[in-house]
Amino acid sequence: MGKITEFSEFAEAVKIANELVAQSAVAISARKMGHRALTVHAKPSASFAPGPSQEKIAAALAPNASLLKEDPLPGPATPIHDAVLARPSRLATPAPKGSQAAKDGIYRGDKLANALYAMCQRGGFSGALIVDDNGLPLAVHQSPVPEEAIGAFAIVLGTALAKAGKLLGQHNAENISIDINYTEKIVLRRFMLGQSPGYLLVICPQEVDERGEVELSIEQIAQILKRA
Amino acid sequence: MSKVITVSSLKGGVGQTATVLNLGYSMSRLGPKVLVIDAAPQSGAGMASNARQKNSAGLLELLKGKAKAADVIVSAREGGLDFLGSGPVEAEEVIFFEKEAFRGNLTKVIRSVTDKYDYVFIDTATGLSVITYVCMALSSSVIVPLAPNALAVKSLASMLKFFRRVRMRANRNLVLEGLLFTMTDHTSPYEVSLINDVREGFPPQVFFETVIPYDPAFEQANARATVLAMLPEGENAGRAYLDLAVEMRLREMAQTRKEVENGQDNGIF
Repeated sequence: MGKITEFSEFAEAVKIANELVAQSAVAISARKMGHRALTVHAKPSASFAPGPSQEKIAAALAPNASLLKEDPLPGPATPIHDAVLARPSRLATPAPKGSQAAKDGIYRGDKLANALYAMCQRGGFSGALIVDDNGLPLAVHQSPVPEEAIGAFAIVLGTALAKAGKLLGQHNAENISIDINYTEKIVLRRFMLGQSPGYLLVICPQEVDERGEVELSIEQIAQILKRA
Repeated sequence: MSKVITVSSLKGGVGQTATVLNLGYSMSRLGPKVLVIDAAPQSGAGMASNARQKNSAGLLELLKGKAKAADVIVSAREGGLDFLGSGPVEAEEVIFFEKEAFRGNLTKVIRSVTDKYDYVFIDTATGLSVITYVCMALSSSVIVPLAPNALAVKSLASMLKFFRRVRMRANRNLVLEGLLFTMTDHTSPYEVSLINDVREGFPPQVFFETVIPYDPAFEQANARATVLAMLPEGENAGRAYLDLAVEMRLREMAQTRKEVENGQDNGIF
């Protein structure tokens, strides 16, 4: 006997719960379908340290960039979750003494990373990233490949979104989704940071309906960026 | 008419008091007027907030007839949330408290203060007692916090039996608002597996969709006598309680839709 479901107390509780449901003694559920199964998440990385230089981003974006040639994402049918778990956590950079960040007790990057972490937990996502229009990661949670590479990839997808406006006349296109292997996908959501665009990129299982969670989080992210 | 919700658990240390305070606060942020009642003689909710420092009087004084409701209810700074503590219950008064519950006076006192609120959340003492029985008997529904550990899950059968008994003997309208997973660690394969096993075994509608994560900020919130959502470091866990409050409101809308479906509606006004 090892699993909780094998204990008599569990069977008894299930029996009573079924009785209560039959007697309409349970509040009506907001959802018609069952619950989504939880997945194990890697320990959250503490926070995102100051980002890479513009030169690194430019190098990653260059046509002959080694990152792109090496195809940093694992091949088809290879879930990247293991790769995510294997990545070491970043250490938090302490706020300089006397700075506003120290007074507030938290960096903007930390707040964004926390928002990403919460979003991934709620939505069952494997990872997420926010980048500005230069491809500079503003916050990362569980990136499967180096931030520079995925930041660059976000810009590639962002450019494709912009093309949808120009070529298809769909100027309101804000989302792009790409299956990266047999089980996972990357979804990019464009949002405005003042006059320039920003991008939220999430990595999640293909069966997950990520839209609601992404839309909710965009609002929170925009507020954090606005306050900064 | 106010909706009275008792939060009760057989097993201690499952985040019961944290749920009452944080859910009460989150619900009040959505607009409704909320009252949190600390019906536990040990005053857990009073200690976890700074309400006791503002006013140490509470249910005990009301039961003794030494104070009026307006004198013992503390209002939150941001408005929308009121708190009624248990009062300074000394060891010998625990029996008085239970006796008053047995005589029906606790029911009268609580009913006398709930009318002007949209939601009333009652924190009861851990375990099964006369006070818990009375609180459930006057409530609309019950929330059972459930930490992802074997003992908490094993104690669930007793809790549900108790709930069923109250429903059969004292309150036919009582419903199970839901079982709420609290203090969960999504990085623990054991806990995730246990939650999934439990969810698979039970009918899905008995659980809240929202799961409250464990967060060190809970301890900080207790130490600073506030709620998670007010702490910068409590944003994540605080957000989970806001999600829970939204889920409860969505359930009510679903209930209304069901009533309309059954032809029980009387129009929008």
